[in-house]
Amino acid sequence: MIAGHSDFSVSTAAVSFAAATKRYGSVTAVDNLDLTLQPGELFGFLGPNGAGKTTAMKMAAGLVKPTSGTVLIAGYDIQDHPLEAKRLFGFVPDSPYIYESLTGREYLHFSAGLYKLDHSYTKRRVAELTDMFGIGDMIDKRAGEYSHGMKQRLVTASAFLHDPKIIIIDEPMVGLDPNAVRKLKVILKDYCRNGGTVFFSTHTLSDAEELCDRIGIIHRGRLITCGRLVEMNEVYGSLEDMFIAATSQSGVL
Amino acid sequence: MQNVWPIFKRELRAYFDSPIAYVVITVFLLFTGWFFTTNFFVAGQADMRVVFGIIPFTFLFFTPAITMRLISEERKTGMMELLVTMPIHDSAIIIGKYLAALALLVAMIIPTLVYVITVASLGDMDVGPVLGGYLGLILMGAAYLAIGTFGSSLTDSQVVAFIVSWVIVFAFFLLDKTLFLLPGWMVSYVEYLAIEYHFQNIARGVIDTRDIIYYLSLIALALFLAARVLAGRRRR
Repeated sequence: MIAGHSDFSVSTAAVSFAAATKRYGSVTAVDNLDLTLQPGELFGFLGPNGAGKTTAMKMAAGLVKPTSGTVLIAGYDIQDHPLEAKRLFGFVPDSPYIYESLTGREYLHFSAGLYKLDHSYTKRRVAELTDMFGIGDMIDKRAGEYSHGMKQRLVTASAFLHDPKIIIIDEPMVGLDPNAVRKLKVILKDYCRNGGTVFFSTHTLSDAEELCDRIGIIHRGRLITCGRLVEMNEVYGSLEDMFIAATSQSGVL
Repeated sequence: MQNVWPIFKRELRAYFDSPIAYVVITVFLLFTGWFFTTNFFVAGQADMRVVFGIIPFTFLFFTPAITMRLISEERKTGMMELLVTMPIHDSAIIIGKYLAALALLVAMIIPTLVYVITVASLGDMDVGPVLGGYLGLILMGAAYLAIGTFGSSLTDSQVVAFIVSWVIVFAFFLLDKTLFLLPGWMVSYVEYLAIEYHFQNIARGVIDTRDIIYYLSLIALALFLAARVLAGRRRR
């Protein structure tokens, strides 16, 4: 069970992009992005390859500095107050980076050290997450022996370690087996029900359809459509039709 | 700065979990041991001059070897990306890693105390220069490691990190060997910048704050630059 987040101020957006733009030379990876995620929301970011999803998520995680505009995490500008903002979210990159010489348990304790979590809390939390993500069999083996999916599970568990208010997760289902995908979906839904916010990107429309309260489609760096899934389905029939319609046009829907 | 500790622990363990630490320490001891044994009995003097003469030269190669993977490896594997999404200062990452490299250097030097024991047991040894020599070695090695940490922050390639670091430390090493080529007014300035000039002062057993300040300034500058490079890459 993921802990609740009742202390999260309803008036403060969980994640807020304001005219966030990222340019690499003449290429605009993210163009004037305005997007707000509310606490308790499960938001899916969709888009074709190279659309700007990962860049936008990296801006939210403080890995990429916007060329202009701002990104706020629970009211903290990630560039001006990085430490305050980073305490509030957990980030799961698209590839499960990990120290392969550490065991899973050691890796989680290492992460806990960086968040300055106390030892008894860490011990209890590691036990909870080990159970929740089904990594108990491998937790005391070196991560170098893990499969891609097992590494993905460990890195995702690590993102939940400090009981963050927000989870930023890039392509969370890639490399997971169907059982792990099912488990992760339950975890993410449960987390949002308890007040957490999930900002995730995916290529898999069915995952977005199953999980999301709201989705945004980004194409060529621009957010071309954003709204509640139920309402969008009413207009376009299905998410797939909407995705194809949105990304095959250069204009805004 | 509290979270320097987990970075330091992890990094030190990474050295000893891989062959790096063992290879570096073994090769270093074989090299210095060979010089010690072949020269000590010939010279017939109860001092550590031979060892303190050769170790600064070996540092030119061993310190870039120790630091080359510090930042570049994690940048290459992507682990650095995950680290910087955690609430930790860039400077804490740099200092934690640097201190682990320094701990390895100290672990590399400690076994050379066997030479000191040997010398002391065979003759009347002057302790001052020996203590000064070891302090100088640690300060000089610490400065080289800081330069190596900076070199490692510049690139994803460990080989390039080694070469860049080696070129910089070699330049500092060469400075006081080029003084005769310089106009008179420049000599004292360049001499002050030369890393071995300060080592020679300390190794005489005379601890002068100017020498200590030189090393500490060089270390602080190199680590500051490494942290700036780390932060700068994120701003791109």
